[in-house]
Amino acid sequence: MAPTSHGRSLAHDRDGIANGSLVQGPPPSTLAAQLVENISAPPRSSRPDETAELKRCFAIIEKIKNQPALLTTAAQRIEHNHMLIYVYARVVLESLRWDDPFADVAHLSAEALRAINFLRMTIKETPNVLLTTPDEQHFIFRGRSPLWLWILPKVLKVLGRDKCLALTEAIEGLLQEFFLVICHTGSLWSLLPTYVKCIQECVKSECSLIEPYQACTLNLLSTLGTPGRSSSFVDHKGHDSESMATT
Amino acid sequence: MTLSLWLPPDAFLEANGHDELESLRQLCTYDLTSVSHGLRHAYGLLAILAKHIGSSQRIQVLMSPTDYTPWLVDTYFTLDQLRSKWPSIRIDHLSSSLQSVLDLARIVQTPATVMINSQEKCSSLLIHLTTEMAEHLEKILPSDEDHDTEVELLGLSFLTLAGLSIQSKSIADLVSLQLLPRLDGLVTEGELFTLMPSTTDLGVSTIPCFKCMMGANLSRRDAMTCCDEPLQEHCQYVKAMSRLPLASTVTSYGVNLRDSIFCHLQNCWITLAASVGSLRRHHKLWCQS
Repeated sequence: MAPTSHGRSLAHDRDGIANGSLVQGPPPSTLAAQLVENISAPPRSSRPDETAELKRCFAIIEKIKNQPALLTTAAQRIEHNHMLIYVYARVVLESLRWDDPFADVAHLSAEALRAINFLRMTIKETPNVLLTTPDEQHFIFRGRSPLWLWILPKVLKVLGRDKCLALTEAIEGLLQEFFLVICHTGSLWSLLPTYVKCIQECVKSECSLIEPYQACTLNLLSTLGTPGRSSSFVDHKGHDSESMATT
Repeated sequence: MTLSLWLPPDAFLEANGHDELESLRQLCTYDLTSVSHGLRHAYGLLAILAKHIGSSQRIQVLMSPTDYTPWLVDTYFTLDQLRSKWPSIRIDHLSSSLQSVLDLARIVQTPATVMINSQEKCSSLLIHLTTEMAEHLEKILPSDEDHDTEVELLGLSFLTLAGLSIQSKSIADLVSLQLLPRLDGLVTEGELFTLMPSTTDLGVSTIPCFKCMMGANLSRRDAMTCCDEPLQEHCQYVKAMSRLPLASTVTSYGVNLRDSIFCHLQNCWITLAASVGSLRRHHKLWCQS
């Protein structure tokens, strides 16, 4: 059984079900500590309470990194990983400005990949963190929904973007990891239908959004006599000629 | 202008009793910047479910394939129709979609009523994706990568469609009408066997099977045992084929068509393997120069 950063067995949080996918590489707490080390000061915010919150979280991350024995129970580890995911999402995932035309896409992709890998490892280490709901006012931007529902849209925002197609595999891998962790953790089985339903509704919503827009755009192109369609998709490899952006 | 989407959508949040719609909305605004962006996103999400449906007994206990497969087939069909209106869209998910639909085609063969309703749609989708993949094969396969996955995928699609054609005249008609004419261009005469790359295990081992199944002197039992097939799915397919009560249930039209299709697919497969080998050789020469 692989030890975690806290010197404890993973099985404590796995309902005794092994899925053959033990955590590899640095543990989440180390990755989070590296994140903190790379950021000399918490990101500036117009909200002083947000800055204070991140400072408080960073201090805890440093403390646990230096004294992992402070986490003595599975519940404490889940709570700590919950906080790590919150910080990572706030500092990394939410700071990625994909729509900025001057952004360094390679840097954004690298950061996103780092966050995806971090999430993957953290959830493998403590699957039950997916169901965690925070106490009221514990985190400013967290709300009270279960963690999986809070983090999922932030990951989905990266999927399918023209600028970061190389991340597709990693994102699909992460969401499949969610799926497998839910299936292999008895206490999460009740989440499976909800998770699947969520994905189904997202796809339905996208189809219903694309369909009328597509019909409308094709009519417009037809009226203007614009050749918006090509006979070969590969001729347009890498181009978004069918962009929804209209003038 | 971009189109904003809420992920997860309100319908889901409301149905599941999440009473924080406003706060979740602030976090979940999602902008689709293009049709291809939306389609890529939807295909990516579908792949997550399709990959696991029916993949293990544990998952089948938690998620019955009969509950989810018809929805997946319908949704792949819808997306395929949406995408077909925009041929210029780059197909990032063609291989993975074909793989998913192949898996679904296997699942819908169960006798459950709800599955029977999806069979024709799934077959039609499979024909369309296979045709598209075959049409654009040389452009889809980048010359500097290992093509075995795509080659195997296309080969399995041919095999699956051949099997489905035997079972259903309407599918056989669709294959004849849509797929086979498009493949004509791929078939060339000449020393095809010598061009075939020896590393393409499936290609090498599939051909004796086709021959056996078409040959008059070999029984289907011989066909099962004649090839030392490394690809498990193909073995399963051959075994499944051997169980088909051909003589009693299919018309002579079906049998003739089967032979015709097998013959055609055999030629296509050889050509496919040859084209991949040719690509490899060109790439190797290019690298050496």
